[in-house]
Amino acid sequence: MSNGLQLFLIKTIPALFGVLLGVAWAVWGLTHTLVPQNEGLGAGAFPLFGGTLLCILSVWCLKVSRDGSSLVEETDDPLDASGQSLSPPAVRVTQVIALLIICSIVIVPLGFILSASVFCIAAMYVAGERTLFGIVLSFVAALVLSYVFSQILHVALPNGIIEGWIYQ
Amino acid sequence: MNEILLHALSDTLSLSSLLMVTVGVLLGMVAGAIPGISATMAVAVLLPFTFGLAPVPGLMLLLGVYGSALYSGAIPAILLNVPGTPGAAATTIDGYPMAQQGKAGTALSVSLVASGVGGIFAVLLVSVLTPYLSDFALSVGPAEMFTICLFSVLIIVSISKGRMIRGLISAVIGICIAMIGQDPIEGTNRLTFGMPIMISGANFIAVMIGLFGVSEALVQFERIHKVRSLIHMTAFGKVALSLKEWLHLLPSTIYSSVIGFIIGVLPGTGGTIASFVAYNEVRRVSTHKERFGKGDPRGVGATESANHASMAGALAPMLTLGIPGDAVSAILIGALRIQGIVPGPRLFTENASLVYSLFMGLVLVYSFTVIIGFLGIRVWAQVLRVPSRLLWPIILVLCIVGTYGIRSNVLDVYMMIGCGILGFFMIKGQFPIIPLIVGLILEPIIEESLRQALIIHDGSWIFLTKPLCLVILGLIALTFAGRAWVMTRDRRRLRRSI
Repeated sequence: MSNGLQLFLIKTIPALFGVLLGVAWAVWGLTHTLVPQNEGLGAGAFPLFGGTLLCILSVWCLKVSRDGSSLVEETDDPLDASGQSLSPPAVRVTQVIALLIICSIVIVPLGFILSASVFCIAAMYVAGERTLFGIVLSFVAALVLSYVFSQILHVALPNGIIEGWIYQ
Repeated sequence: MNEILLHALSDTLSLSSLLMVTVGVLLGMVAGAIPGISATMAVAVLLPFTFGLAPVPGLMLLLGVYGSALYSGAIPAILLNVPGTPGAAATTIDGYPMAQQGKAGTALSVSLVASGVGGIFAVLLVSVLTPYLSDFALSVGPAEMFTICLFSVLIIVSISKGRMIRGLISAVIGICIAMIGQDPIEGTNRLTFGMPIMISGANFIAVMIGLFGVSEALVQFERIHKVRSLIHMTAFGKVALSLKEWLHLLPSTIYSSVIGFIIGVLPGTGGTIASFVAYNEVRRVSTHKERFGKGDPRGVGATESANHASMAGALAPMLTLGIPGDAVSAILIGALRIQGIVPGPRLFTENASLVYSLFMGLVLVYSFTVIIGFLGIRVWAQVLRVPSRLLWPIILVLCIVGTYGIRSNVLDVYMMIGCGILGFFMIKGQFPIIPLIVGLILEPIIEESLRQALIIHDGSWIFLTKPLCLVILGLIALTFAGRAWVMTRDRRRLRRSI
């Protein structure tokens, strides 16, 4: 990955995110009470102050960001457990983030336990565990783990397909 | 008083508490021994599981995990020269040379006993000091509380060495996140984006799990291909030490415990700083400085005792003022909040029994850590062989299950993922995470006390007339002036060298 792209991904985007967040908070603060009748501070004062400060600091961070080298892990031995090639580090992280988002989306329709178990298999595949034994083991482990923890945490069951099966 | 102590003792020695301490110590041993899983992360991931427990057993579980993970972080530090937890980084200086000389067993037993001594010593100190601190905390008004909390946030920012602006950005992000929900004085809904679930604010536990669990898991996914080559263990050698050898180690261990405790009390410092400072101090006062760095057991004992003493020290500001001394005490604040208990000046008057249970529980944790640690001294080293490709996906599953399980709310899972991605980019961009957590915890107190003080005194700046406020504001000014002077001096030196 080129140095410019690394800089853009790791410094510029987060700094722009900080600026946007700061502006949003400051605008919210400005449009609400800053100084009420009782001489104190209104609900808008802290968001205005915090948002402005975040905005200024993010702009400063954007201005001074020059060096983006060595921020992305280099692959020296990209092999999985069975000797096949593993995805590059940045791709692996993106895949895991995508899996987390997909898991959170399907958690209601698919159910708490099934979505966590499917996520576990996919994440292990990304991490390099591609043997059938490993995948079956991970599925069973995640199924048992999430069921046990759902009982500890008193998650309302049945809440989805698999929970329904287990509960009935 | 005796009744409170007896009640605390019966809570601590109840079957469920003892069971939770044992489970916590065992889990912590495994977690700390695996490089990449920090004690903070282990506690954060397990935090939701205390939801279904009573306050004392829940805290015992978390303290058990933390106390033993801090010790077991020394196992890979000694055997592989790779610290299992950040606090064990200084242990590698003398621990690894000892292992190379065939004295790995001795180094492990020294680190284990020093952990126990440092921890128990600091718990005794904190249990004596905390009631006085609590009385002081009860006497301060909103103006003083505002300056104390402001000082805590700024001191954490200022110790982000070489990254002060990054630390400040991190703290401001935490402050901005904390503003979501009802404002503390008028109850106006702020930044809720019209979602009723957001009125109660950002879910603290989801934020914690995201920042400490998911972000670290993402970093480890990135490095997963690098871990396999680490496992080359050395010979263990003898484990037991003679009484003379233990007595030789005792003064440096006690000295380091005192240093660790003092550093732990300061907000935002933690075990890593404490162990390095203690190591340097013990070496400085030693008559045989040349032995340090070449496998001196005093080096191992000093770092481990300071690391554990700082953990107990961090509890003092947390329990009396509600100010987190380090990342784990911030998570413990979350654990108490789950149970509806608010740490701060009134904790001693409203929940004195719980505070004493916590102290007794810590003594129990250190005792169990030493016993279980010795029983399995060779077994824990084998944990290093757990393949990381199996481990990290399961940790992520625990993060999802734990976060969703708290309120059965998908929004919490989104918040956890968002904070995980934020934390990942913060780690990559070398932004410290602790100021964010401290900002998140202290913003409501800062805002509430500032606004209360202004209302009480008709909008006048009372902070500039109260003696305690003036002293603290002076300290803030001095700290930042000192940092600015050091930065200017370093810049001049750099220019001269060019």
